[in-house]
Amino acid sequence: MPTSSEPRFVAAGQNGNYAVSAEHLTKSYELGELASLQRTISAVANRLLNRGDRPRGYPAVNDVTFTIAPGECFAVVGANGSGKSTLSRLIAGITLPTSGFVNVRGRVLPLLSVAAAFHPELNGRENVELFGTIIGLNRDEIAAATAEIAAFSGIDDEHLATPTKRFSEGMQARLAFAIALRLPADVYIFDEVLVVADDAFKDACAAEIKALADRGRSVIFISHELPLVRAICTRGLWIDGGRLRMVGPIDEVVSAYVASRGTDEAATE
Amino acid sequence: MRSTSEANRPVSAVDPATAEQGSTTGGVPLVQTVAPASRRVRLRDIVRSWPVARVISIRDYKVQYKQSALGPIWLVIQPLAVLAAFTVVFDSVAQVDTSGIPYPLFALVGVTVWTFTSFSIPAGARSQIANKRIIRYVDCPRIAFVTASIVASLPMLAAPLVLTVASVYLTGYHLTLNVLALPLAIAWLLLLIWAITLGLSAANVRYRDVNSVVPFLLQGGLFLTPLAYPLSAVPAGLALALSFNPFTGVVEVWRWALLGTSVDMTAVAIGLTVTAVLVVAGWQVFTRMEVRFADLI
Repeated sequence: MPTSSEPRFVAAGQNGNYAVSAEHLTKSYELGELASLQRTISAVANRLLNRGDRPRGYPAVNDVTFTIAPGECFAVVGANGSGKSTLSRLIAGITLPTSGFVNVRGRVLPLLSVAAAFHPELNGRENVELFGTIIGLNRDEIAAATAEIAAFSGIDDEHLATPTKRFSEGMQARLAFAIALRLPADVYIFDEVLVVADDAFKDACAAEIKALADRGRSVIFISHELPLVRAICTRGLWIDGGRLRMVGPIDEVVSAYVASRGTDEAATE
Repeated sequence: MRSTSEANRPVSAVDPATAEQGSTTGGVPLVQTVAPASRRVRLRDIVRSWPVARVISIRDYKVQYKQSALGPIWLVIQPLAVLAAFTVVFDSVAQVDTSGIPYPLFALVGVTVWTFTSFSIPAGARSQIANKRIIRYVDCPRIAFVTASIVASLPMLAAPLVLTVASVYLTGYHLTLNVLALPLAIAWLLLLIWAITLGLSAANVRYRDVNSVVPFLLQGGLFLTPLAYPLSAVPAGLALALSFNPFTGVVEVWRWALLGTSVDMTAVAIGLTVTAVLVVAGWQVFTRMEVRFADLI
């Protein structure tokens, strides 16, 4: 997000042809309990003793620069805790960076967790409306997509009129994916969400993700399933401890990542 | 906050033809910059985020009475129960002077204001926490959650208000021309609730202490607001002190509008000033903290 002194939206075009462009993107988090009696007491004590109370920051994403082109399926690979999810939150504008910036062209549709924006008491159709409205679609756009969402998810009308808390996890995943794939956006982010889907639905989703890219949309695909990553994506980046290790063609990035894991595992054995 | 901005014109995922058009003509999707900022919410976001507030408030209202046997009948039971308690204590035991107005009718106005207040403030203070998942997983206009919590609470204002107006006629009274000012009295109450919940909802994201403070404030407010007794029945010094509770002025104006009682202009002036201060403070707290909601919640 820009500061209030800058325009929130600037016309596209002068900065080259990109869908997502991150420059020196850095995000630090505070460690430990944010508020606790212990922390309050130590803060008061520090104030009285004239010592600074600076909680230690932990850089989850550290000086990351990359560009994603329109129509590109872009992978983000890395071990657990390497900063993949923080990166996706930054691109989606959910959280702001500590320094650096990321430019995103058009509407972002983040699917960062299955059933992330689902309200368990609302039925399938109401949840489609809720999610669609939150990402900024109007009623006509949502209505147009609803029938396709039902068709793609394979969830019948009766189930769509049932609170999603009574959906099985698999069915919630189908609905979430159908919503994400059928609502119109320019940049899609899928963060480790295909794990719960069955193989047939996974294949269907993979095909749909590629189809999105064929239509000029950009997809950011975050996954530990490397064969799936190779099948879907054309380029990608490897992030390790918050730092960018490599960005380039998907085969090179995945190979390097796999090789490093191999040596790490060998080293620990 | 990109959600409801008309400046953000994405291409359609359904129709490849528009996608072509979108990338080559005037319909080019605009660029949003995600960069460090101390605040990003603007006043116009309150209006722009209305579609989100609408959907969330409908959701909250629906959820409220799910799996409830009496459902919306509670809207009437709750104020009547408080009214009964007030009548026992202040009419039968303490016998306050309401200048000729039947006590239940007199107290019903205060009950109306407080039913809404005691429902909407906790709901508003929880509004960000309650939408935690949305905050963590989607970039959404978070100010809409505050708007939504107030809109979803409006039946708690409407039901006792209808009850009050009906009671005015049932007891043989009638509304005076003062009632024309009722929209302003309602607007004042809503603005006050908005300012308070804006600040509390943001503070709650970082300090859950808010959840401990709110019930305690409301309990105090029940007695330290002239709901069950007229401000004129209070000794002058204490009345001045009570006037710094902005709800005192609100209730005075409400009773003046509905029952034609006299109004303490000092209380109204102080109440309006305190409200203005709370609006500015609530806005500052909210906008300053909003940028970190997803990190802190």
